[in-house]
Amino acid sequence: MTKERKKSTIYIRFAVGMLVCAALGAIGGWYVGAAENDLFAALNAFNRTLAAPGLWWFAPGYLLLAVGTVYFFRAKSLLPQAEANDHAFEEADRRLCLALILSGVCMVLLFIALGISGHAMLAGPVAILFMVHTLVHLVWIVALQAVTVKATKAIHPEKRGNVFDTKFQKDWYQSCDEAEQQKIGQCSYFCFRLMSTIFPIAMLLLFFLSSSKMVQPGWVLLVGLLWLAQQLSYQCMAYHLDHGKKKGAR
Amino acid sequence: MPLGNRLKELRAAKGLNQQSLGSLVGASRQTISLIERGDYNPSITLALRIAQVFETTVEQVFYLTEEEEEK
Repeated sequence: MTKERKKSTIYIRFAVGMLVCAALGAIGGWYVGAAENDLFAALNAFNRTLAAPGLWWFAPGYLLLAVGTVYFFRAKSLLPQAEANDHAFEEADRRLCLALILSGVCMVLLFIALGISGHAMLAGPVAILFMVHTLVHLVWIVALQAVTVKATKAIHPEKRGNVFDTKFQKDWYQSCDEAEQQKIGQCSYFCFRLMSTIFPIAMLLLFFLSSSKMVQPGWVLLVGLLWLAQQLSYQCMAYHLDHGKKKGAR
Repeated sequence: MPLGNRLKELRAAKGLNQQSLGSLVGASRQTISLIERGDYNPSITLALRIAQVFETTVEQVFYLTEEEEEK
């Protein structure tokens, strides 16, 4: 009885979810249709607001890079004790992980800064400053990642891979043991589930904007292709692992 | 699914630290730590390698907890 009730709850929740999405879509579509000119003006104002900070778009990246660098040096201070002291090892490893996360986020922020403010900066007299900020960011990010990976290899001597090698991620993964590979799998699946929620929302938003000609169809295609790449890469890899030809040691 | 183990005491008796045991069985220090804490259940292969290092059987190293047995 409990199992039957649970099943019906699932279907009811699904149906309610579909109805809510349909209702929101109808309201959104009506609003877009009714407020077309106002939306155009609002979108243009929004875009101008985004571009207004100019070089300040690099600021969050600098802040996070500074924090990441602090984490790296605090981890480095624990390295001599890490071999003999389990607590020092755990803490050093944790700080290096945080440094790596922050440097990864900064890379994304850098591209956001380039994309949003790049066209305005390159056209003006501050073009040199813009390029300097870009180069400083790039060098700092790459350097932080390189030294963090080097320090990680110091406390994990079994790890392989050169950060500057295109095969780094493959080499690193192959040097991971079963527990670490399982963790990577769990992280990947979490990411897949999250992006499988985010992409449809983004496509829906683009649909509304595209249907009222506020964005070009090319952007819809771009996001759609990214979504397709995410879905296909995961599904095809899963298919290959289950049904692909058996190979020797990978 | 918690799995009990006597890894820490066996390691201490043999004078091995986590890093050394990890090197002998092909696992990282962190994985050995996770196994000892019960946060990771090793594969059969890894469990056999660990038992081999301590020159004993897998059942002497790992055991089902009461929660596992009830299941």
